[in-house]
Amino acid sequence: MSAVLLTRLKITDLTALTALEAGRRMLPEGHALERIVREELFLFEPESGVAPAAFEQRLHEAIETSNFFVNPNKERFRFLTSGQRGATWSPPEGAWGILARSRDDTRDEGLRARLLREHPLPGLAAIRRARAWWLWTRDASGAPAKEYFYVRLGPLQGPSKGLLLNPHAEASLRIFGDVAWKDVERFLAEPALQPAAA
Amino acid sequence: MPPTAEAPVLPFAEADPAALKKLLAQEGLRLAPGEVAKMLELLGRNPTRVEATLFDTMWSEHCSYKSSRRVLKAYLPTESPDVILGPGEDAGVVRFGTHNGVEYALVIGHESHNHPSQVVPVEGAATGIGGIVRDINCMGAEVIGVLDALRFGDPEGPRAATVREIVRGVVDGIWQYGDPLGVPNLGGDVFFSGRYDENCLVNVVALGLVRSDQVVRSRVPDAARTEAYVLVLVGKPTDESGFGGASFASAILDEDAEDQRGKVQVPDPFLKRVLFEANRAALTWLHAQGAPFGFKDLGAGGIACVSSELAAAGGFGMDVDLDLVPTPEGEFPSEVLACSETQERFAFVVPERLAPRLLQIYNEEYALPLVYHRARAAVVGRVRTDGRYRILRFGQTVCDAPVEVVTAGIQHDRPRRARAAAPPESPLPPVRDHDALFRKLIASPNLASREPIVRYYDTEVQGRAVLRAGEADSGVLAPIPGSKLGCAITVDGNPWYVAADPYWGTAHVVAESLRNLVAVGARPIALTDCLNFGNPEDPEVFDEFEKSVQGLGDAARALGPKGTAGPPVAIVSGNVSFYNESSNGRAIEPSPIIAALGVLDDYSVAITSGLKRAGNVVVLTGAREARLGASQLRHALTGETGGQLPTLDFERERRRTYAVLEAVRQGLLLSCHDFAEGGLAITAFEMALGGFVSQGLGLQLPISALGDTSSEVRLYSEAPGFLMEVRKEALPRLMALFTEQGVDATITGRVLAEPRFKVLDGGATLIDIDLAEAARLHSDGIRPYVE
Amino acid sequence: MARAAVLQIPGVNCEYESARALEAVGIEARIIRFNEASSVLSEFDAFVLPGGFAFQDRIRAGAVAAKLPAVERIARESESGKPVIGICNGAQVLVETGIVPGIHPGRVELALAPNRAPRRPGYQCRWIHVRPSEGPGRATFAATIALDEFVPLPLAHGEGRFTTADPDVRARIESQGLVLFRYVDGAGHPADHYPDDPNGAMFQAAGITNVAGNVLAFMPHPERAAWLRMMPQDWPGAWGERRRAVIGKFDALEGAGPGRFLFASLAKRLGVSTPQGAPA
Repeated sequence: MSAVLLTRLKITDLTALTALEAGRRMLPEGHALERIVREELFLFEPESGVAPAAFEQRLHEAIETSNFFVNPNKERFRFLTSGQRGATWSPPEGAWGILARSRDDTRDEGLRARLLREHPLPGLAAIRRARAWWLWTRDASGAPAKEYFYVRLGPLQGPSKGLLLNPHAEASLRIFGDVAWKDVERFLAEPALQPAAA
Repeated sequence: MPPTAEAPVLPFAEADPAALKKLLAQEGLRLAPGEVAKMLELLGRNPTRVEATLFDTMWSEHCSYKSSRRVLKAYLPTESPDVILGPGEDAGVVRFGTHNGVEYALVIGHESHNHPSQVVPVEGAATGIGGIVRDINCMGAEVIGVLDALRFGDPEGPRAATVREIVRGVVDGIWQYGDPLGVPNLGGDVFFSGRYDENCLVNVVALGLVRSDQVVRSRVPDAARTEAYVLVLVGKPTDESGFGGASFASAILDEDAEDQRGKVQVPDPFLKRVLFEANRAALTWLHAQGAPFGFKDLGAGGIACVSSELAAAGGFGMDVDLDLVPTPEGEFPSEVLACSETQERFAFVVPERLAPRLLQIYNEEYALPLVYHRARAAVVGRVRTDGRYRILRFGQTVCDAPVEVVTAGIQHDRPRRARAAAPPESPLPPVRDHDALFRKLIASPNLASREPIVRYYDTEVQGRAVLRAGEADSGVLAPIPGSKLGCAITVDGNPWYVAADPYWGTAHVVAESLRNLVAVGARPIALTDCLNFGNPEDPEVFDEFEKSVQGLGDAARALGPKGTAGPPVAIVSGNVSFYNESSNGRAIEPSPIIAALGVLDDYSVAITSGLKRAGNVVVLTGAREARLGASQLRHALTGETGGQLPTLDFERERRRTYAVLEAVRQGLLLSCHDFAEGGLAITAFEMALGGFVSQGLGLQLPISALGDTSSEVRLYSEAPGFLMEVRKEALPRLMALFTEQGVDATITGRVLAEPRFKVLDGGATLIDIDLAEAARLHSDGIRPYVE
Repeated sequence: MARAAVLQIPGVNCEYESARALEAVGIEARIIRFNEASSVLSEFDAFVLPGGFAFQDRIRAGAVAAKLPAVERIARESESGKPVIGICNGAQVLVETGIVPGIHPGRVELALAPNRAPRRPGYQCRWIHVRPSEGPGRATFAATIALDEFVPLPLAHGEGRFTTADPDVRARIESQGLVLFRYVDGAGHPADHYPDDPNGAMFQAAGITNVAGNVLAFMPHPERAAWLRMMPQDWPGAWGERRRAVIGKFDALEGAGPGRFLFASLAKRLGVSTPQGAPA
C-alpha cells in the first residue's frame, strides 16, 4: 500500500499545450481533442512489514515545505496517504488517461536519498515515478472513442501514429475508467519490461 | 491628477507614522518613511498605486544603488583607452580588435541573483543567467559565454542537508538554462564557507561580441524629435510572476523564506533562444534601415522601468498603454502589468513606420505565438517630445509625471564604523604527516576538483572554445571565425581574504584575476565587479564595503600595464548586492567577486595549466611567505579563517604579471598556473593532473631552494606568483626576460614520464602519491554535494 | 557546387557552427527556418538537423519536431538517396520519425532513452572517443577515416542511449551493419564502462544509420571538433599530440580537427572536388 503524490503545473503547461496542438494536427476531421492535462505520479513504497502511516504524516510535511516535489510558484499537488487514496484511481471528470513509465526501473533512488538526508522517513523503501496524460476526446458521434484516440495519440508507432510516449523507452497503461491502485502499483513495480509486441 | 477606479490614490500625505507604516505594509511596499516623503515632494501630491509601486521598485537598493553610488563613484576607475562604454548602461563595452577591416567590441556584464537562489535554487539561478544574457544581448551583441561564481554554506556543517540541496539546485538551474540557450560556460568559481549557510551567492557574468558600429544604446534616439517613434514590447506575455522582485532582491531573508517562493520568476531558456535568433534578424534588419533606434531588456520594474529609462536617457517622455500589453488569459491589475518582472522580454524604440515589419519578424518569421503561448511583439507605447511620462489603462491615466521625477533616483549616506580588530592568530600546530595532509586538502570542499559541477555545463556549443573551464586559469575563445583574435575571461573571489582585510583582500582578488589572464597569454583590458555584502545600514558592514571598493579601485589602477603612470584596467560594469545575511542578522563574509577580461592578438599562443612533456623544467616566481592568514592550510589545521594576509606589493606584482604575459606571448612557456587557494602544493598538483583527463605525466617538486621557512609555508603559502613549465632550451631566454624585468625565478621541479606527484625537501620525501589515485580523491571531493 | 540545408527548428542551437563545418569542406550551407516553404528544401543535396533542444524537448526530445512538415519533407528527400545527418537533438528527431533505422519503413523502431551512468544520470558534456565500423553508411559518412582509426569528439546530451524494445530490430541493426560509430576507450577498444561508454547505448552505439546508409543519427558533436583549435590541449593520444605540437601556430590550429572527417566524407559523397582541409 503506497501513498500517492500527484503534481501538475498551475502555470500554463507548455508541454501539454504543445501535445494538444500536435495531437490535433494528427487527427482527421470530426475527431476532437479538447484538452490534455499532464500529471506526475509519485508512489511512496513502504518497506515490507512497515505500516505506511509511520512516515506518511512526516512525508506530507516534507512535500509541503521543501522543494523536492513541488514548487508552489509553479505547481499544485494532491497527496493521498495509503489510507486516503481508496481502492481505485479515477480519471478527472470526462477524461481518460495513459499512464507512462520508463522501461527501466521506475525507482528514483537519487530523489529518495536526497529526501531522506533532510527528512528522516524510516520505513520508506522506494519512490516510483510515472507520468499520466489525461485526455478529453470526442469522435464525430460525440463518443470519447478512447481506443481510437489511444492508438492515434498514445505509443509512437510511426510518423502519423502515436505521440505521447515512445514504446521503446516507455511502457503504458490505459486508464479508460477507474483503475485499481494495486494494478497501478503492479505496473510500476515490474522490474524490466519485456519488449513490446512488434 | 484625479483618482479613478483604475488609479486609486494612496493617502500617504495624510498618514501619521503609524498609519504610514500600516499602509506601506498593506500595499506590500518596502519604501522607507523618508523615501515616501521624498516621493511626495517630487510628485507634489499623493501617488497612485502604480506610481507608488514604480517608485518602490526604482528606489530599491537593487535598482537605485542608493547606498553604494557615492562610494563607487569615489574610488573606481572606469575609463581607459580600451573602454567604449563604461558603467551606466546594461553592460560595459570594450575594444576587441579588427578583422577583415571590421572593428569588433566585447560586451561584459555582471549580476547577482542571491536571495532568489536561496529560496528556489533552480529557478533563482536560472533567472540569474537569463537576466545577465539579456543585458548583453540588448547592447546589440551576440552572447558568446557565461561564467558563474557560486558561494555556498558549509556542506559538512550544521545545515549540510539544506546547503547540499542548494548546491544541487543552483547547478541544475545554471545548466538547465544555459545549455538550451546555446551559450557556452566559460568558467566560474565555487567557495564553501559556513557564513553562506543561510544566504548563498549566485553571481553570473556574461560576455558578448558585437561590431563596434552596431552597439545599440538603451535610449530614445534624437531622431524622435522629428519623426514619430513607438515602443515595441517583445517576448513573453506579461503576468504576475516576479512581481515585487526588485524589492525582494534587496530584502533580508527570514526563516519562513519559503513563503517568498511566489515572487520568483519563471525563466524559459527555449523562448530566450528563439528570441535571440529573432533579435539577431531584427537588429540586422534595423541596422540596414539606417534609422537610429533604442533597445533595452526588461528586468526589475518591468515595463514601467524600461519605458521611463529609455525615455529619460534620451531626454524624452512616453505614453504607455497597458491595454496593448500581451498577457496570458486572466485579469491583471495595472501595477502588476506596469511593474512585473516577467522574464524573457525586450523593448525597442523604433520609428513608427518600421514597426509593422519589426512585428512581422517576431510574430510570423520567428513565430513567437506558436513557440510560446501568447508570446509576441506588440506596439505598446509612443514617445513624447515634452518629457511627460504617462501610463494608461482602460483609457484612464494611472501614472502621470515628468519623466525626470520618475527616474530621479535616491541616495543615502550610510554611517561607517571600523570593525574591532580580530584576536591574534593562534599558532599553527606542526605538520607531522605531509602526505596525509595533502590527501585531505585535495579532497576538501574549497580545493577539490570542480569537475562534478562542470560536466553539467555545455562548454562546447558555438564552436568557439580554445581553452575551457578546468583546463586553464581562464577560459579562452576565438570568437570571430577565421580571425586570430582571442579573448580570455575569469571570475574570482576569496571571501576569507576579504573578511580578514577588506582593502587588501579585495586587492588580492583583483591581482589574482589578472594573473589568471596572463597565465593563458591574455592582456587584461577590463574588470567587472559584483559586490556582495550584508546590511549597508550596519556601520561595520558599510565600512567593510567602502574599504573593499577602495582596494578594488587602487588595485585596478596599480596593476595596469604601466602601473599608476598609465591607464588602469578599467571597471566597466558591475552590481551591488546588499542585505546578504542570515535570519539572526549575521552578515555573509564580505564578498566582492571580480571578473577580468583579456585579449589575445593571436589566440594560438594560449596555454593550459596542464604539464606538456616529460623532462621539461618547472620554474617558480613569487617568494613563499610565512603569512598564512585566511589560507586553506590555516583553516584545515585550526578551523580558523582569519589572520594576516600575504603581502601584496603592487609594483612587484605588476612587473611579475606582465613578465609572465610576455613569456607566454613569446612561446617560452608550455603550461602556466598561478598561485591561489592552497598555494604551491595545489598549483603544482593541478598542473600535474592536467585538467579533467590525464596524459599520464607526473611532477617532481624539490622545495629546498624556496627559502628557509617551514615545509608547510613553502607548500601552502598563498602569496602571489606563478608556476611555469619550460623547455630546457627556452630556459635561458625565460631567465633573461625575468632578470630584465626585475622579477624573481627559481627552478623548482621536473616533469616526470610517470603519473606520480612527489614533493621532496632536502633528503625527505614529504608527498609521494600516484596521480590516478590522487585524481580520484580530488574529483570525488565535492561529488556528494552535487549528485 | 553541392548545397546543404541546416534546418533551424525553434530551440536548436548549433546551426551556425554546423553550417561553418559544412562550408569548411566546400559544401555551400544555408540555414533554413522550419516554417519557410518546405518546397525550398528540394533544391538541396544534403540536410543537417543540428543539435539543441527543438521545441524545448516538450513531450520528449525530438517528438514534436519529428512531425513538422519540413522534417517530413526531408524524410521524403532522403528516400531518393540524399544524405541526412542528425546531430544530437537532430538524431533524436530522426529516430522519432522512424527514418533511422528504417528496417520496416513507416515504423518507429528505436528510442533515445535517458543516459544510463553510475551516480550521475541526466545531462553531461564531455569528450569521448568513437570509432567507425563497416556498414552501408560508411561510403557517405566515414569514407575518409580508416576502420582502425578512432577520434575524440565532444558530446553533450541527457538522452543519448539508443535502445529498442524489439529484439528483431536489435538483431538486424547489428547484422546489417547499421551501427556505424561506436564509443571506444582511449586505446580504441570497445568502451565497456562509464565514462568511455557515456550512456549505456546498445552496442555502444554513438551513431546509427538507416538501412540504405544515407541517413545518420549521431549523438556526438563533430561540428564542435571540426577545427584543430577546438581539441583540448591536454588530451592524451594522437589528436592531443597534434594539438600540443602547434601551440603558437595559428594556421595549423585553423586546420582540420578530429570531427572534420564526417563533413569531408559527406563532401566526397557529394562529389565536392577539393574538400578544404580534409584530414591527412
